[in-house]
Amino acid sequence: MSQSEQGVLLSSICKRFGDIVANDCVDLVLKRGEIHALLGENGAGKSTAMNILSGVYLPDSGEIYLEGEKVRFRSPWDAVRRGIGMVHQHFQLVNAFSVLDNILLGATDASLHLHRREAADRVAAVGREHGLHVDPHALIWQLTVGQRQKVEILKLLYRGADLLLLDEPTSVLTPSEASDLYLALRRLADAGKYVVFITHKLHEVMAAADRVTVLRRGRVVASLERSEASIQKLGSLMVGASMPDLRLKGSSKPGEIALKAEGAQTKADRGTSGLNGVTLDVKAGEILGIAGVAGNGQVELAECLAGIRPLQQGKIWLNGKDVTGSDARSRLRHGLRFVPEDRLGMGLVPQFDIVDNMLLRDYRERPLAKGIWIDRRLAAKRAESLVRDYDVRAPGINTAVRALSGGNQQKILIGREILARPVALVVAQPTRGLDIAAARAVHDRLLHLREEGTGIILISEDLDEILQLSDRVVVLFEGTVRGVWSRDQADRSALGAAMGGHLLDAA
Amino acid sequence: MAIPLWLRLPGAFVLSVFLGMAASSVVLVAVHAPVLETFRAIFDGAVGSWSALESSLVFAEPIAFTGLAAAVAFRARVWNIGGEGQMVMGAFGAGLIALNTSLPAPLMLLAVVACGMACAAIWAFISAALKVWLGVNEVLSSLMLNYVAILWVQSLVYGPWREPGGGWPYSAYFPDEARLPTLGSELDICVIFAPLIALALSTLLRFSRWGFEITVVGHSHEAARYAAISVTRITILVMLVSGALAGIAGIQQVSGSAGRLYVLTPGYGYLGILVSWLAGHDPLLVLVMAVFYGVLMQGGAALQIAQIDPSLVRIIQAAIILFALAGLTLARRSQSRLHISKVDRT
Repeated sequence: MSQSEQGVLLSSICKRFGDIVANDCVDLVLKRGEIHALLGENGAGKSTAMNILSGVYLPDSGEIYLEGEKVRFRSPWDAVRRGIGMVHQHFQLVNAFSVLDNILLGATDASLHLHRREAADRVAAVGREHGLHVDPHALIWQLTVGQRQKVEILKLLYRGADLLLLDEPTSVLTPSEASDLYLALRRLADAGKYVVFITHKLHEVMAAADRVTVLRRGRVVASLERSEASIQKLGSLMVGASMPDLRLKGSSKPGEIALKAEGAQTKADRGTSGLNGVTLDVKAGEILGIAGVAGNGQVELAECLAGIRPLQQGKIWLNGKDVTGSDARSRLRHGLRFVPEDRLGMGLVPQFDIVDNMLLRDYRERPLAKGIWIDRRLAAKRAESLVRDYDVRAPGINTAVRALSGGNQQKILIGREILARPVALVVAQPTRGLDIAAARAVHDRLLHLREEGTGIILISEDLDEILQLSDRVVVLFEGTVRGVWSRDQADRSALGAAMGGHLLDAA
Repeated sequence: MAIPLWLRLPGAFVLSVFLGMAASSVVLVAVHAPVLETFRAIFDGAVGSWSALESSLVFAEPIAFTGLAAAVAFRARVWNIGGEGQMVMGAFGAGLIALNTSLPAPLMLLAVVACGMACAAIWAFISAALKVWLGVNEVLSSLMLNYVAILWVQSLVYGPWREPGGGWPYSAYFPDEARLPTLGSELDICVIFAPLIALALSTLLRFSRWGFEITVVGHSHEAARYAAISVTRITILVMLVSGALAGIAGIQQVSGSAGRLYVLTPGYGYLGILVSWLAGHDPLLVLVMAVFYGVLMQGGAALQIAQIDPSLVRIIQAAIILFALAGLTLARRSQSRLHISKVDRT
């Protein structure tokens, strides 16, 4: 390539983690003075590529050229020395330290003696030069999130970074902080730096980038100038155009509304969206797919429906009954089951054996509960029949579940939750990390359950899974519902745009 | 490996105790103390005769209760370090009734025990409440409250509760109705209750709904939230039970052979923590380990009578305990690892 003399070039970068190909022959060309956006869904390989460029991972194959020179980074320090710095999504700052101390901490020229005053002057100078003003003596915990991010950028500039990588820089910012950030990035690019940011929000690409490279499933699918790009085009590039095979059998004969949320609002976990008035429902015998990029309120929605997270506003109905005020236990009793996405952190107790995990949610209901005692013999029977029915590969029912593979853990979790043929089931990321056979088995179970008349809310980051299984699809973006599609109307570019924060007229 | 699973823990325990003895004999040799005679003196002094065994059990009694107290809390990963203070408050509660009321025989003792356990449980509840409602670390609060409790009882026995005319920091003797029935010369009825309570706890922890809830909370707060188990409720529950159990240790010391309130021998509360770790927080094993520790303490006491330097005694005790703790920890860890590797092969 002729440009390789002037820019930064990643050439045929490949990286695998076990069976998963994170980067498959990724080519990337970065130019000086340009803001480059890397766009893709979760797991598209954006972060892997950036971690390779910043020396965190070694590529399995492929080369990196800095302005014509081939380089090989063995550690992040190698990359820092060559002027490459990364702002991580979760800030790497010591909250109790001042801005100055954070910048000096680990600075390349640090000697035993710190020249604080000179350093403070230099920090201020670097800040002035790039329009990033932060008081060097302020303590980190006193700063807003936007200011902390500026500190991260200053830290890199102070160390002489020439190429700045930002991993989802706006995910923690308010809209006005985000536009501040765009201005700052523009100034950096104008000053002749390389600027790269990772995002899955389409409007950010259009607002801030000069050039965008779209990744899907570890491959580069396109690299365009902003003038060539449009929201719609980027949306369909991000999620792909081909529709997967529909796996629903028979037209849906949905019955009464099984589970309904109306105007659901709740606070966010740190760095995620919370819910800002979500209204949706699922009918008996129907699968409602909830698509969206991670961190847009999926966890909060699932937990609010299940009753283990309080709603601040809104109502939840289960089978026509208002259950807003009732706790998880009474919802459980009325036939609402829940498969959380955090399998080992929440859904199962890893150190418990299969029998005790069968008890986890039902130990106080008859027949598992007998007065104050629990009936482990019955639980063992259930465990045995689950192991048989779901073909769980385990040496025995007294095996700790942490010793099982992810697929077998998921079978136990789903099997337990759907044992009693629930009225409604909320299932989050049911096949994340599973191999194809295990994923297929899980899908079969969900479809079977739908036939039997359960209303299923399927939350997944895997759009193919949503499209294969859902009667209707809802897109969740920043805690709000961005459109509802029935299966025959759903098309990937509209869904992709909605997942990136845009609603097309077509919807 | 050829060693059967059930034998691994006891095997590791016996082996580590011997290793601890070997390690301490190095010290004995270094200071020209007679090795064999020393260990023989420990053995004779602690288990060599009925009266020796009885003395060992006198040491083991309070440790058994503070050990059970610690085990209940630690099962739920609630780090109650305040067994000492709760024990002292148990003694205070016993004294409160025994010294200030007069009740007929069976009622008096019941009231003494109930008030002692209640005071100890309230003391533990302070730490629990601080933890669940204000987020104060229970290790710090329960530890600090130990000093408050000790100083409180000290101020009583040096001040208003001091025996009239007595020169020592003791209260007056409790009336006979407020004394625990004795067995033998120094033991009291609690030596029978300890195994009963341990058995009950063990059964409840293993087979009851509460036991299940405590175990879930001890493993994962997220899983507890998912199972609609209130971590707040369980934390308060185990602290109350833990405090009440530690309180029995205090009641037993003042209402037992002493028969009066005094500044309790320090340390039983902390030893309970140690014993609970040795036992892997299993109530029945806590008993075994409490007896083991009682034997070590009585053996040490016997050595001091035999004119052996008390610091040497401490070294021997510490070496044996350290080795036992390390050996048991390693054995438990390899047991769970074995469990996993067995799975991988299938």
